Amino acid sequence: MTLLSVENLKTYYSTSSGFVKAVDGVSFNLEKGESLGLAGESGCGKSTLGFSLMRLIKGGEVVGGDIKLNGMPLLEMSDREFNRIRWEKISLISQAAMGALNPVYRIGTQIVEAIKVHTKTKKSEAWERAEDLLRQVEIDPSRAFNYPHELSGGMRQRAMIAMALALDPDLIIADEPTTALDVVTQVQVLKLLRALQRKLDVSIILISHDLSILGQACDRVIIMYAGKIAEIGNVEVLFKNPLHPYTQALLDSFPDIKGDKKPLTGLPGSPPDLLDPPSGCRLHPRCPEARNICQETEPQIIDVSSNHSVACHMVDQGG
Amino acid sequence: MSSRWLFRRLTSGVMVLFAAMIINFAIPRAMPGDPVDSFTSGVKLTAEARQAIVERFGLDKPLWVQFARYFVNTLKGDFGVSFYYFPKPVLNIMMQALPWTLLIVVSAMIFQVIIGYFLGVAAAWRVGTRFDSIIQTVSITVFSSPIFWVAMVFLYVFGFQLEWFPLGGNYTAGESYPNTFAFLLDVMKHAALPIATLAFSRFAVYQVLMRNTMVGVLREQYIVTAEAKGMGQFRVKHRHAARNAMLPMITFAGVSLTIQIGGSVFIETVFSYPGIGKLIFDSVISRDYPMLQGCFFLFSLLVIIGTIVVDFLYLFLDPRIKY
Amino acid sequence: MRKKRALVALGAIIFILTFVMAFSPLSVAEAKTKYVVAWYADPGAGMNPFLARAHSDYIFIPWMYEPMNIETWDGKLIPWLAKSWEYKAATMEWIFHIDERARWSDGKPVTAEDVKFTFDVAHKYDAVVGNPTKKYVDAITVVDERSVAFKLNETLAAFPSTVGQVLIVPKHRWSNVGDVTKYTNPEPLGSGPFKFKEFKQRTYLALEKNELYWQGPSDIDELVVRVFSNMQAEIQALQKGEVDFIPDLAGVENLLRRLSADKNVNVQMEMTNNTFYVALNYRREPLKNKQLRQALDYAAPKERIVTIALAGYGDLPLMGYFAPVVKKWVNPTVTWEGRKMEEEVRINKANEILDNLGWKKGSDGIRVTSDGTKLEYRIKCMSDPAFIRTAEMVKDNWAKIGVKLTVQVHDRRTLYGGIVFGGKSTKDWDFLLHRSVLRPDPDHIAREYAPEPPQSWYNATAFGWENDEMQTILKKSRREMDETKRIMMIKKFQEMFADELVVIPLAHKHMGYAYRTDRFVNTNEFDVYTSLIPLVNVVGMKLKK
Ligand SMILES: Nc1ncnc2c1ncn2[C@@H]1O[C@H](COP(=O)(O)OP(=O)(O)O)[C@@H](O)[C@H]1O
Ligand SMILES: [Mg+2]
Repeated sequence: MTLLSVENLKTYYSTSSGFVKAVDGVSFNLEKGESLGLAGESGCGKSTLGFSLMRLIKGGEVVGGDIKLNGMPLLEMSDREFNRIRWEKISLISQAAMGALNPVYRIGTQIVEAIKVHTKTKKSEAWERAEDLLRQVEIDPSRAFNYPHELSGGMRQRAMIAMALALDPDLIIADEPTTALDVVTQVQVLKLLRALQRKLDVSIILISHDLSILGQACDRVIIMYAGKIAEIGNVEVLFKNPLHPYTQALLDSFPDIKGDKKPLTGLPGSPPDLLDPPSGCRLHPRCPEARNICQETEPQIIDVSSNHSVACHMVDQGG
Repeated sequence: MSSRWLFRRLTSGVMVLFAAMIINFAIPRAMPGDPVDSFTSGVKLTAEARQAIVERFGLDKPLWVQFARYFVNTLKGDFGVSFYYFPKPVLNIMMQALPWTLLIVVSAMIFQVIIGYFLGVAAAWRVGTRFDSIIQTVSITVFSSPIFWVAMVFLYVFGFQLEWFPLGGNYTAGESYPNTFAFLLDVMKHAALPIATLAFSRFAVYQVLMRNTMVGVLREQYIVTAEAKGMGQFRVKHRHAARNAMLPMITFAGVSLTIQIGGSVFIETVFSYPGIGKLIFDSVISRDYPMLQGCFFLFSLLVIIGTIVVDFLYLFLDPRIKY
Repeated sequence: MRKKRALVALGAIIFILTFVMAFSPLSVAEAKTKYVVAWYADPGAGMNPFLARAHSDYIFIPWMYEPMNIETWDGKLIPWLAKSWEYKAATMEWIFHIDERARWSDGKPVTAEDVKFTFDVAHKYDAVVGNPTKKYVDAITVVDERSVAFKLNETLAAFPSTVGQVLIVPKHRWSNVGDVTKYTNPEPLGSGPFKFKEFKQRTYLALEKNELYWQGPSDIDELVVRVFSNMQAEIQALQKGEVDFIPDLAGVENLLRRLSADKNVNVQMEMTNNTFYVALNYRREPLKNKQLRQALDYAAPKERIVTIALAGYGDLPLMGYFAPVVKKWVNPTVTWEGRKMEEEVRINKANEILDNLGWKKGSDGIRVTSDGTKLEYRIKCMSDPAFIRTAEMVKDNWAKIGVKLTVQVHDRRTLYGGIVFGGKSTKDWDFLLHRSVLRPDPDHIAREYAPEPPQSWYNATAFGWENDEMQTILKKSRREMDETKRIMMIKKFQEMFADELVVIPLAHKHMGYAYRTDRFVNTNEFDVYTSLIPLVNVVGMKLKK
């Protein structure tokens, strides 16, 4: 059953020198209980896409497209109505290690707040629920009385997960949930997230610039480049048989055993300026296999198989 | 709260006081000419009064004896006898004046903080808009108009033309009140204009501090989290953003206590209000050195108290801080 | 948590509510028997009559404590606690007889013992108010219950008026006080028309009617002196009815036109014995030259000083250091020669005088004397708008006759204590813009212009001035017991003073008071008393019923 469908979403930021086309015509579906990864280099519009779903864009706006959650058109709701979607239906896990929790309130208070804003639960019950949630994310419930700075980065991130689960949402958007953590903690948090997601049968959009993370925790992965989807497919298929040159380059730069990242070896240059993106295929200035057509026409996304689609002229022409 | 912090706080407080004492001690003695003259500012004195001053301050003794005596006296709260209010002791006059000034200054500060808070939050929320720039322009304009002038205008408009408030004093002279509440009401009626003037003239600093910190705070990740949690804008603004952005404003409030008293010099003079500000003004005019020294010492004390109060407030406002 | 929030909310509501309620209109007082007097400073010394130093102290205290006699501006001595006095030349004794009716507000009579006690104590502790009499009194003896004798060490014609400067205190209250100069007198008991009720330092003094007052109780039940530090507010308060009476309008002259226009207010400005003048430092060359002084006098813009700097509240001066109001002592013939001349004519005349001296103007328009001194000086004054404006006007006019002035403004203490007067003053000045307010009896002029023993730190001697003939006549006048002769001497002195142009008088400034016409009826019957202006004004004015 389709939980979320995104149709030709365009989110632009307005700056003094023009529009930054951070998300420019993105479409995808998300099944209930599915874990969808969103990968791509820094600045390619992953967070913008995620935040667009929660209508949290500042300094810009969704200029076109459609978002439906369980068939409800999210973009047409009033702010008031949408506030009921937030956290109740869609919650957000961002980098708690980097200040996504308010430093002046206790962990418990912040979880309770989420509950109290949306439900008429009694305060004591809400606290019990908060402690329960903490237990679920393997934090000692007495930590509810701690302030964020009194917890380690991993614990903070787990508390953030607990908070995100507070209202049994349908969808969790996790924006780089493990980025600032050390490798061991990353793995723990990720495992926990995956386990809870499966257990609670909640959908998740996991955003990361790090494909290895998505490989561990996702059913499906979207590869974004410069505000557009480059490739989308099941984890196994995509990882084994990447069709897009960009996906291939990303996979090549997988961390080795020591965990050090290699640079994007395959691709010279740097991501384009989204104020004025290149014509045709946006990758063409960097693409080792670029041809004339890549400069001129934009490749359409086409299904290669039932669970694998790609936007590349090479694939398009059966190359 | 660690004892180490307490110790550091206390020693720094004591040091400030000690510095104030040394300055108080040195100034009249460093002035050229007969030290008695600098103690009496050239007021014609009888031989007995002159001798009394020499004896009181030990002006015929070596410096260290004088300092020891001065030191002990100060610790006892004995700042000597006022010249103008002779033979009344400085402490006595100061303590009569202090509560009135504190009433005005603290109330005004509360209003300044409230006004500064709301305007600052509103401006930060719409930073860069016309609304923001109007608030900034108005704040700066108000801040740079002389307090004295603002006070005169308020007095004329609200006291004289509209007759809402009395034209001066701290309560109705020679009135007997049926009950304490009537008295308090009368006191408030008299304090309203001075407080309004001080609040109005000095809210700008708080507004600017609040706005600028708030602009930074609004970029923080936890504000996004708060919005994502689906609470109303009001809650995001005040419970999450402003709560974090308040700290610099509170710090300033603590240290500005004496600046405020400085402002009250003009206000109390315009409103004939018998507080410390007017006392300082009168003492400068009548060159009442012991009184001025007492006030200076009192100021140092207030600065220390102000910073300590802020330190404690911080304990409540910012859980990250541990002493 | 919730409780805490409720408390904070409650606190906030109370705080704001109080301010909202403060906005409710002022309750109009019921039939007031209370009269409020506005004053610009509070008595620093409290209620101790021995410490009454300044005018600001002196105003309140005579409402409770009274002197032996009161001098009026025209020079009369009005018997007060003393109904009469006489002099025994043989023993150099002044004998004062106390009014039998006089009593303290506790009902006990005012006796000779009280008077002796007061003066003995004032002399013993060198109290400020005792200064004038101390030097001349050898012994004070009680003659009978109501008579007291002062034995002097020299003849002093002005002794009765000098005695009038001391306020008499009840011995039965003060005998155990000890050093009276260190006493704040928290609960005053006096013989005056009002009794002490309450005193809030720097705020107000409340007095109530003395029912037992020996001259008959006042119409005013309660008299409150309210301290203002803002004169503009003081005047607004009178217009609004917050105060009923302002006993001293000095410093607000520029507001008086508007105040007079108020139907509910009567402004009474009258001449007193004060003279606004330019003093000269005789140590400076060539200020000793009388012709130069004459030229400066001609060139002074006196009419404009009266109309502009004094806002019209003043008169052209007599030249003898006395104002016309002091009828008994003044020599009315010493008028200012320039009074009937146009300013231009006077300036031409002044220029003529200086031209005749041969002091030529240089290229910069400044004259140089025959021995090469450039007429370039400083005029100093205290920082008061009327003074500064006057100094500027004098400067502009004197520039027209080739005398260049620079105006230098100082604070009052520095100017008088540090530069002009006092044993340790720098004497570093050329011209001084000064205003003297003098009691009518000329004795203190004698003391100032011919001090015995000579001192160098008061008026004329501080100016570097001396004149044997004038000083001799002053000294003689002090010992002249025949009043007619004494008056002659003083009038002669005024002639010489005017002729010599010891100082350059500019104007006599008016002083006055204002009151609400719905509270008082001005009978215009009372004299204007010197030391006790407000007392007599308030007491003498009829209340509107
Ligand atoms: N408020 C903003 N104003 C203008 N440009 C923005 C703003 N936020 C992000 N961008 C730009 O939009 C692009 C996408 O940003 P983002 O979605 O944060 O990328 P990612 O999360 O993939 O790193 C970037 O080029 C970034 O510079
Ligand atoms: Mg991002």
